Amino acid sequence: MYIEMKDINKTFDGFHASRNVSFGIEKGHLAALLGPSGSGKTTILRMIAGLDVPDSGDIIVGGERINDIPGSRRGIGFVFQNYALFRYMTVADNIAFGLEIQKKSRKEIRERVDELLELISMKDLGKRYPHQLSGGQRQRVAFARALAPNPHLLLLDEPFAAIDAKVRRELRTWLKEMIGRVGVTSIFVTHDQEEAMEVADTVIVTNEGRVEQIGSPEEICLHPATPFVAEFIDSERYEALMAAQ
Amino acid sequence: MQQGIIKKKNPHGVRVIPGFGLTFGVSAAMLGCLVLIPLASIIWSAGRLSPAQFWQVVTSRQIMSGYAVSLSCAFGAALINVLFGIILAWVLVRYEFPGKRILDGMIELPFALPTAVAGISLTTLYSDQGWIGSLFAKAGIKIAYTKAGIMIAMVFVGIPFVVRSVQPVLEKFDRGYEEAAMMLGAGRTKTFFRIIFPEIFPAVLAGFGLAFARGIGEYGSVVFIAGNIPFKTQIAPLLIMSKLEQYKYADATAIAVVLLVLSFVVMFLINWIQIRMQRFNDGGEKGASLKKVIEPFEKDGHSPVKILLIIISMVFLIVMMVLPLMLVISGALKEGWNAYQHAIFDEYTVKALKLTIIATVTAVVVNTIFGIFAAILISKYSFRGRQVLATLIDIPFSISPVIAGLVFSLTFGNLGWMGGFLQSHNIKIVFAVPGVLLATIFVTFPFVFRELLPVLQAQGKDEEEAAALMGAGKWRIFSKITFPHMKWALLYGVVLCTARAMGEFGAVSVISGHLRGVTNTLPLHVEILYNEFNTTAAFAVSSLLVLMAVIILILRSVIVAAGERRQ
Repeated sequence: MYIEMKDINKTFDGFHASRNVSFGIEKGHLAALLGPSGSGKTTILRMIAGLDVPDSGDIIVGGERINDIPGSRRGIGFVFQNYALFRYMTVADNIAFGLEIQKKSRKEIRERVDELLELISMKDLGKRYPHQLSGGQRQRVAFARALAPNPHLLLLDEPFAAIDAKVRRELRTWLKEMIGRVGVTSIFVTHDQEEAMEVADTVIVTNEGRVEQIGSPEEICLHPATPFVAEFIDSERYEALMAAQ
Repeated sequence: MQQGIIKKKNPHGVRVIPGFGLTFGVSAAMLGCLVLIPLASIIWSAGRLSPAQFWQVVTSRQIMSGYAVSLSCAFGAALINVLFGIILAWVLVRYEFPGKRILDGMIELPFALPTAVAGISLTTLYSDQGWIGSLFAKAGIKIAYTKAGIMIAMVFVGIPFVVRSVQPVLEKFDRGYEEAAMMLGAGRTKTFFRIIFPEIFPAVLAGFGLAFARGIGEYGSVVFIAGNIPFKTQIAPLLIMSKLEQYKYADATAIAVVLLVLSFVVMFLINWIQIRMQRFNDGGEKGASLKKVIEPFEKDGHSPVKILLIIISMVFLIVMMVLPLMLVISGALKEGWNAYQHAIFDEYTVKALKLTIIATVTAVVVNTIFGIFAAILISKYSFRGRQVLATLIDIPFSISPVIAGLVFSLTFGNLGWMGGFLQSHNIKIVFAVPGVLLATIFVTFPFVFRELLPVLQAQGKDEEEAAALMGAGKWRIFSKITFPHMKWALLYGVVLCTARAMGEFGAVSVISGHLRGVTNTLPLHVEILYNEFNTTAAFAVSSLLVLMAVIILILRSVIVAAGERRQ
């Protein structure tokens, strides 16, 4: 397993956000943390990123325990729910930010930024500011910014939540394809089962701070391990979805 | 939820954004040295009085009457402010008419105009020979040197608090509720009192509380118009001042302690009522009240109500703001241009101007540094005691300037706890320039912080977290991410801080000793000239301060407009 969570617990002011959370994700996989709101999925993501620390348990990435490594040195890319684009910087400056910190040469930075702008099909929009972009474009910029320093792990917090229902499906396909092309291990958080089933290789279902089940979308739909999963997942919709594909 | 809570070392998790130690250190050190330690002197000084002595001082007839005058006038003035404040806010939000921008800018005049200038011009305006006072005198009504005069001065200083509390709430108010009520057959009056008023009530209450607290503590604008007749028009801050002039520090402290407790009780009560109201409001639909109103004005043309309300607003502003300003100018030029020039280029005026500039620049620089560090600290990091710290920073805002001056006298004066040490090292702070600077810094302490905090809080900390995750250090995060967000608010805070610093009267008055040419600032110089019956010179010097106030108001409007355009 590339990423391993071992017996993680976390409380906020008496609220139990994670209860004995354990799971593993293989290298190169695209995993979804799926659950209703308040089920603790975002907390798990933030702990992997180093934005929160667990009260107990181990977070292991690539065989190394990273609990005590600050988030800035974990080599992780993070896409925030509202993208957290730097409002006073252009698209290109946003993407270049992480590279500048790594003290890359100007030429290197320019090449990488161009390459990423090309990847997200926004070649001509590098000089724009975030407020001049559509929701979907913003998400693509956030994605490119997180990928720029070549992270070995990409975390996305509700990547489609802020996007119009109409373009959401399109972006889902796009993101899955991009992540596949870059080959980076990724975890994203969602409360939408359709999203999880369509995009992820591995789905981790959470509820009230616990992990209810881990498995492929198929396993989760056809063989729910707990009554909660059985109720939460609408298998008819899944079958319809699969039939449509 | 209660089962199995695990003990944690750090309840708030890691601090992802770097720079916590630095911002906390700077903020705490500045707050401690400039505000908390001087303030603690009050407790030290009060402790030297026995409870019996304390009781004797604060229950003496003169002091009791001082409290009664301060409280009753401040209460009455705050009520008047609520009435006019709602009308002004309503007119500014709902109607479109020529001169609206100027009206909006004028509301801020009491913030920008030094209180001493307001005091002497209101006094002259409402005295028996004054433009307005003479009209009332014919009917046998005296305004200046009565409680009515005190209330007028308190209405002047308090009006912006109500307008600026109510205005944003009215702007965000969802017109849908109103339309729904009208569709159900409710008339205009009913709609206002049943639908709109409950919605703005918490804001009205906040404005009332701020105006009331300001009225209780106000000194500069009130002291002239009050006439200070014992048992009739002596206000509590004036009593503190006169005890200090007699070097009765302990008595002054006792009066101040009661005044402090009174203002804290007022603020606490109002906070409490607001929290109760909030709970009530949360039951409604979320987001409904956040909906931005698209049309800025009423559709129904020129209804009589609209015209009436605009006229009331205009008359209020003319009587309270425009006439006092005109009076300053006409008073200054009364004896001709030469006399004016003579007053302005007088040696002592120039020296007072210099000291005012030095004090203002010092206060602005110190409080800008503090404001930036403290606003970042409170908005970007979570730590235990954050709320307490934010409250402590606001203290100078809610206490009387006279008490602010008092705390420095108690700390550094000859009879203060550091007095002996300072004397033996031959350092003079009280009745010297450093005292003037410290008092000015104290009074304007929260200004920049107050402007920056809401902007940084609204921005959230996602951008900083994202940058920190990519490995950015604290200076890079500050200069590239946080600073661009707060540029406009910072500029605005600096302007407000400048206005207040150059006009500070009560605090500086206590600590300066009025040494002409040495520790006199412009507002103090105005007072001296006025008390010497040199009215023309007093108004001439005032006109300089009016000019600065007008410049500040214009700057403010420009900054607000530019900031809005950037959004």
